[in-house]
Amino acid sequence: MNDFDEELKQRLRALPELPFTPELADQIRREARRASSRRSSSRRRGSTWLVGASGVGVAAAMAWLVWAGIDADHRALPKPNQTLSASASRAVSPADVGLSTAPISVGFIGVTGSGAGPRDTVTATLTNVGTVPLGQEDVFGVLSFQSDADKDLLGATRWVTLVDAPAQPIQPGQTVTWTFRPVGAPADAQGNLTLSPRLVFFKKGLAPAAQADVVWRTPRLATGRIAVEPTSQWPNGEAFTVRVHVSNVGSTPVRLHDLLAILWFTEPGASEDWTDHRATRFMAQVDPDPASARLLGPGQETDVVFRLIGPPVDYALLSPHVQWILR
Amino acid sequence: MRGTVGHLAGCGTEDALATLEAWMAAYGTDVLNVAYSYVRNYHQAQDIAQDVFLRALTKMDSFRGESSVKAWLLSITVNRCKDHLRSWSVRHEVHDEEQVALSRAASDTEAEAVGRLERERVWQALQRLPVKYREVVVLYYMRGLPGHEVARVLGISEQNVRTRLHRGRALLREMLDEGVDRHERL
Repeated sequence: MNDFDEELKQRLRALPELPFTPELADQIRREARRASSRRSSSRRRGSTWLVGASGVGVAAAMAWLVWAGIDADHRALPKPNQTLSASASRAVSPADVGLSTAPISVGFIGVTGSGAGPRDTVTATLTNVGTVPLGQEDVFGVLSFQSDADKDLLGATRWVTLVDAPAQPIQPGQTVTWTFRPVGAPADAQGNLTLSPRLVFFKKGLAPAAQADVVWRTPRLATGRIAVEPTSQWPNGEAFTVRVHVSNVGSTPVRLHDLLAILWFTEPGASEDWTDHRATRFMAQVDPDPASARLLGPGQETDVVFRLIGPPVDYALLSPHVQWILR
Repeated sequence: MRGTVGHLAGCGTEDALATLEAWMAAYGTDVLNVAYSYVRNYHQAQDIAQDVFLRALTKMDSFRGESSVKAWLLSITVNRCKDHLRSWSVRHEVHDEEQVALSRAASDTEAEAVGRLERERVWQALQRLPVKYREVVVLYYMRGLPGHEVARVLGISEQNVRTRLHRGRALLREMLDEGVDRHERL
């Protein structure tokens, strides 16, 4: 070892280091205990993954939620796997998306916490105001975090995801309290959620626009190749990226910030209805930055990459799909 | 298995969590700072450190003791960082190049100020190194891994580690000398 080598070692080792803070250790400890308890739970019911995403040009905001309410147990998730799947579909987004609201009234919904920890959970009370039991096969929810809870569900969203209904159906007239932790939703440095949650449930199945309670507009975009690649996995979850090639086949520019995407996976030959309870669904903003002015002009193409976390499904055996939505 | 915080064969949940606790205490700083050397963003480095320890928890049974625990954790860190940097979205982000570690109050004495400027100069030079050289410099000089473990962490040969160290050293020397020259001219 020569003199410069030794000098270099001393100079480099004199550089200050980032501290591995007690807060970070606590956070890891909490997540580790959660993961361990989920793994060790032998009879799991009433648990589902809710998922989120980050899109083009987005900071590394991984997002996943764990259903932790209504029923204390958790449903066993499928075995993890190493997969790579791709689709070479090329389809223009169909007509606008019509949805019928479900008879689930969301009473209180707000950010809550436990004890001295961060306010990092959401609590909602759900009441079935209909006449038939409602469960996962009947309804799905859209969870949006926004600055003002009274604003439009999609138009004002700063972070959005699709949620499954409770595995245990809600009986007519029954009110249940649902608590979940939306990991990945906007939070401050202490982990406190900073925006207001809003939750709306819709009936499964699409409705003709003329008969729908809510119509989501769709852009004139053609979806090309969809490539899915896992990035990491653990016993009950998997992180993966979805790369979508998209072209503007319309005559007007599309602002990326105005684009939302529903990404879903189906068994080959199964219904391509993204609301179907057998589909694995994700919803994400393409560009969450409200200040972004990035446009996809007529005839222009680009790749959009979504970074998702969801259940460890064998994606190689599933067909990926994308539905574009305008805010 | 080398090291003092590595026993895990056949451990149960509480044992595994205790092992994780010991690993965080012993190697948390290593993991966090190696992650930061790649992503150059404190919060992303924290996210990666969390991911590394959670992955280590789930993969404890697969750890065979062929390297030190530290090298094993850092190899997970490096792979995780490279996955992160390969993602399209990250490549289109503007890294904040924050220098968390170097931030200091403005009330330095002259000696402290000189020392701080020197550290900043070394830091800047390190950040300007291409990643293939920076990673071996960080692992070897800053994290104190021997050459064969640097090779294992990065999945390259020991000869390759030596070559990259040689080149990395030379580049750093050039940059640091250049800084001195410029400073003296001023």
